[in-house]
Amino acid sequence: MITDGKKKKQFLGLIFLHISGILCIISEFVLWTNEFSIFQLFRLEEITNNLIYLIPLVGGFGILISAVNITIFRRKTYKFWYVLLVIILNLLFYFLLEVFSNQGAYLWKYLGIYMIVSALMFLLFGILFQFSTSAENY
Amino acid sequence: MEDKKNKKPKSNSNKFKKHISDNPLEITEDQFYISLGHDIRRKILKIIGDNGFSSFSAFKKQIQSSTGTIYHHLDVMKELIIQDKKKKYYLTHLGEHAYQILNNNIESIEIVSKKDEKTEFNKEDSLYHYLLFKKLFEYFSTETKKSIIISFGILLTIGILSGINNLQIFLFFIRQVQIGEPLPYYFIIDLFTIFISYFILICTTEILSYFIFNNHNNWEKFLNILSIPYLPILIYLVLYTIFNLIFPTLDPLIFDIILLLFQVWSMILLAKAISTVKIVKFERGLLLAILIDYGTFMIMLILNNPFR
Repeated sequence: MITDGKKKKQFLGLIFLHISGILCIISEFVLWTNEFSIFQLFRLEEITNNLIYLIPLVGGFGILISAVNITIFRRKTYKFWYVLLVIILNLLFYFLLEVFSNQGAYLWKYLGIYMIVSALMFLLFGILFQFSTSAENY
Repeated sequence: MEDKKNKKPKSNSNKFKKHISDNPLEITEDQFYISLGHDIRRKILKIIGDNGFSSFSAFKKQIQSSTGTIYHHLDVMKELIIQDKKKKYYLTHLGEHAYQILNNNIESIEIVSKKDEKTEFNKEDSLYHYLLFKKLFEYFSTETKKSIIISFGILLTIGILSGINNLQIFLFFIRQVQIGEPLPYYFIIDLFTIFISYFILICTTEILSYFIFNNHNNWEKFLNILSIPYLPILIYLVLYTIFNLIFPTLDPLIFDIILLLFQVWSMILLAKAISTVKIVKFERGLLLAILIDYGTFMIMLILNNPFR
């Protein structure tokens, strides 16, 4: 049985997951250093392991696709999308750990880090609302 | 404005509850279970429990039953539900307790019945079952003493392998220890870190499940069953050791990606372990695993930040 309270939680989960995905995608194109966004850093050939800098963009799209599949279409394979969300979450953690160990002191001067941190917060609350409603019985 | 409107009745409800607690209701066990003994009554309880309060029109809309029937059931539930001056319905303390019982019980009934269903009718072994170490979970749940020894063996092997590779494991995150220090000292530290992190994992999981699920049953089972989520880490360390010996110049990014996938596998196994021990749905277990993941990430961020 879907009560109004559950509908509200589901709606909040959907909104938070979408905001998180959008913030992740935007963070790819805002400044992370005084000159470059991480998308520009990815395109610089001098940097080794520059694939890491694509994580927010790919993760953002992944979150949006998972959110759509979990909440709107209610596919039967919802557990796969949950696992994908967890993979994206760990990818974002990995990205942040790498970025912090390389240039932790200067990150907080630019917009990019704030966007990705708020995206992580929205993702946490989105997952909390979404998982708690789907765990309940209908 | 809406917030104010919502908050006002809640304070009224507290007054009602205070009034009730001053005059304790006399209710027998039979009466309590009679109150929960009908589908419509359980639906009413869920509607109020999920929303905090509800109106009669909301009951009619969501239950789709006649006015008389709903009034009859509300009358039967008079110990669990109370109505304020604005005709809104709230749960009494007893009602909240019944709502909690209802939520926890239905979930555990569904899980246990699914287990029966699988053993009787669904004996197919899929890749999904192998990845979730289904048989291992069953073995660890039944054979407690033997599984404690196996758990110790798993953790000791992880400790030795992490010591050899100069890696430090904190829950499911792995970090490279700085080279240049006396190696035997770091070997012992890495060996002990895994046992300390295992102890932290047990405590954190139990504390979180107590506060989130209000469930502190079977906590002893965590002592052995929580070593299963460490199996992917063990496999990763074995692969890491072998590949480092055969291909010493391999790109570290490949190891990082493999580690990430194994971490996710560990988290899913942790979710499975929580759902097995606490008899909750897999989603709830995953929720707890994600919270633990966030916490560990914060600690790793502080440890990894060279500018701290």
